[in-house]
Amino acid sequence: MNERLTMQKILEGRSVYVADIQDAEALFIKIKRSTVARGRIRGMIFPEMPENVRIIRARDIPGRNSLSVFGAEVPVLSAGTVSYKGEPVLLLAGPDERVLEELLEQIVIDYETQAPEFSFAEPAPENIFYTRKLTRGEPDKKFAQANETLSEDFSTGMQEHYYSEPHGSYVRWNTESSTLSVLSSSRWPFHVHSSLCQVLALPTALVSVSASEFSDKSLGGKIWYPSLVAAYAALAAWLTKKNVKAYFGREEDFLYTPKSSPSLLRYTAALDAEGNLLALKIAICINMGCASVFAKEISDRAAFSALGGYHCKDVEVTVCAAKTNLPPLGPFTGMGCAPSFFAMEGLAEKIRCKLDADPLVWKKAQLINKNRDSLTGPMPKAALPDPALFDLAARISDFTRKHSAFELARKRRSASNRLPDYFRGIGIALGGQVCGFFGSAEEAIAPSLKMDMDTEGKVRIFQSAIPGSFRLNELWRTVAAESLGAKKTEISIAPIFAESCRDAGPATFSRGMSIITRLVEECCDLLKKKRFRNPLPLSVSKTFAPSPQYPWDDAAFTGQPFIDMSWAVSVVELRIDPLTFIPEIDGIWMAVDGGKILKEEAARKSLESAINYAIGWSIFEQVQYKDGIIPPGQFAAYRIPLPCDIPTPAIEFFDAEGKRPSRGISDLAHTSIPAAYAAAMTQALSMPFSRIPVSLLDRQFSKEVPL
Amino acid sequence: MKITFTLNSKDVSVESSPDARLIHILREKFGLLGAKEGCLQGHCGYCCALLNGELVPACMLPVFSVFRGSVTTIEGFRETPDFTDIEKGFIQAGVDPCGYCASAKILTAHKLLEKNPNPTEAVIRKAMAGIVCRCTSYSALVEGVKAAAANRRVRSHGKYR
Repeated sequence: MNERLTMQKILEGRSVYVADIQDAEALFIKIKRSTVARGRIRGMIFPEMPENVRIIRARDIPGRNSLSVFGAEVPVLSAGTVSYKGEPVLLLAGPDERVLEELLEQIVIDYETQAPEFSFAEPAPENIFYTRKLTRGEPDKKFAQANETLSEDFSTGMQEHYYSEPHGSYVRWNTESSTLSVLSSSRWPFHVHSSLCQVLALPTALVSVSASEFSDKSLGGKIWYPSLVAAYAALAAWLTKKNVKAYFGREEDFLYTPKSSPSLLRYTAALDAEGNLLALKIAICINMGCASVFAKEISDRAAFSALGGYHCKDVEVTVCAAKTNLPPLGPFTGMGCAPSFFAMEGLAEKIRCKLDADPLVWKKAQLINKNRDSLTGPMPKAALPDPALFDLAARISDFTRKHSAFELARKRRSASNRLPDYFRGIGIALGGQVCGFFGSAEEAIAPSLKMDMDTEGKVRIFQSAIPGSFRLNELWRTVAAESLGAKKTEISIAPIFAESCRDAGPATFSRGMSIITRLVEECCDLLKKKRFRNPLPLSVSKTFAPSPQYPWDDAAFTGQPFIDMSWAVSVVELRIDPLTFIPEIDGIWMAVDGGKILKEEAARKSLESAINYAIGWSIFEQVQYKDGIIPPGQFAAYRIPLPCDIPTPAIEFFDAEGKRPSRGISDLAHTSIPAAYAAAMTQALSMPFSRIPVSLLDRQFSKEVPL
Repeated sequence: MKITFTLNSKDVSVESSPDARLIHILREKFGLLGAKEGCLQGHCGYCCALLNGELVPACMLPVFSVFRGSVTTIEGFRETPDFTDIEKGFIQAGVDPCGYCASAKILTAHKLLEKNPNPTEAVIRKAMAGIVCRCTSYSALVEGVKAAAANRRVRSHGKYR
């Protein structure tokens, strides 16, 4: 379906999701969840069950009672122990949702409770999933020589994905063939497929999976959790030999599904007599909840981004992924990198203020470049942050003039003790985005793409990544059409699970843009070469291979751990009413280096959506657990930025017409805007902000703000 | 209880508990799936429909409140020229909402344009704040509503007036 038809179908209200499946014969699933955060199940008491209701427990699972997600194991149903409030203990499958809910209320589970762990500040050794420790240079020696040390604690909160479609799955039991056809809200149907085969102990041919037709843009939340929901539906379908529909209501989805991992970051800097940075010691602790899903990926990204885009020769970094008795937490936009960038930019701002240096001059001088290595060693020239990005951001936002003016007003205000019309501030920050999985993970996945050209010259692309927007599919068709000199109508994309499609991993971490787009280009080049020598039809394929120039050494944490890197410098300007203390954003500017921009309009829209996420995280979005559960009322009170909260951002692309390959850009807002917002708040109120969301409620501002 | 009302210009009746939510009746009894079930607290706006021409959250309305009233969902509204103006405007501006909030955005735009045929950016942003969804770029949405307004003005008054 082309872009226009897809749009029409959506606008006319014809798009169908799992919740829209109409099947009067289908059974429903309800989940009995643990009410304790940590413990052992001693026994269960069941009410009398109607004949048409089936209880499903861990012991009913024919295969393995776990999902495998990049080496982590997540139980499908509790097999006797529980490790968070809300953990699924058993399922009820039946034809009437209300009856199931009433029955769930009557089931009594007796627990032997154990002391839960909700804090991740200083985890005990048994509560550590993964640790990454690295030392560069001689940080201890430099700290001993330091004239002064500066320490700052940062923290980042837990953000809700707030995707459009809640988790759900519909499974059709095919009586004649004894097979299962699964529709899932997943963006990684290959994982759903392999998980179901594992849980049900079925050969792959007996299970087929398709994804909701209309993609959901918040992909971090749709990587692996939909496989769990699909497993519930498939389990019930397999055991009852009936169709089954399992879907979460929005509130249930909010309460029990993964959120972003919160982090605590301690940055300690050694400074010389002039206030220059000598060495850094960085300790980062990440809350993974009860499962280690993506613990290594997130931790290594956090370690890699610990210095942001800046250079420091003598550094010690420790990153620890901690286990707590909360639901599994994990991937989100900017995962791992965003907290590190926020903290490093916050520290840089503090040092700069101490030196009373110009932000632009000071930050540009600290950047990594070809002579100043990153934490993992030298970086390819194309992946380095260009100092000109700062100039571009400053030019489009008039940063230098505004910053000076606000600084002057702030100093005069301190001297005069007069209440201003507004407290005003402007902040600038650098953010980066790594594209693809970190380290050697891409090598293991080996994503590939196949392209066929038939005798009429029509081209079909076979690949398995479901993009976050149908526009990316259009982009791949455009790229292929332009490269081959063909009409766009002659290029089509085969449905996933089509013949010859193989698992290319989830369509996240900008893999669609940075890997699939490149594979499309490479396949087109190959096809063009072959066309001269060989008759049609032709078939070519390409598999992604990491750069041989900077091979990744995981133990030493050196080399190039990603496909590519993009950069952005963001500026946020705000004003704060001195009576209400409500901040109002006056402007957002972004200078973006994402390599060649293939479709500027689409790139702008993607960034604008990303800015909404970033502003939400910066200002008010935060999920807070109390005693292991989200308190009542938080679902209704959870707020995301609305159209009236954010002005239209000004976005400029750096060297957009250049020859450098296209890269992912959608995480850049998350890694740069929070720090820019905090810097603006700091200038406006003359007080540091080291926590996300940046909130005045944390501060005794009536005492601290110099009125 | 038997409840009769007009649904998308057709007289209908439904046997239902009077306190059943309108959104469930629309989706389950009439198979009208364009309005989605969202938060069920009148907060997200995904379930919007028109009741007697006014925009309402169908999750918060007990079905008895539509007795002898007129309900229009996206399935009925999409047959009108007003819808075509908005659809064209959204496509022109590249608005790409998800299927969850699309019908709410269309109906909200329609109500806004009914009251204000030439809304400013600030007015559009305020009107659209009733739909809580991350899916689309807000500036594209503003452009989409402006383009829809222009389409509607041209249709109503001719191109050069």
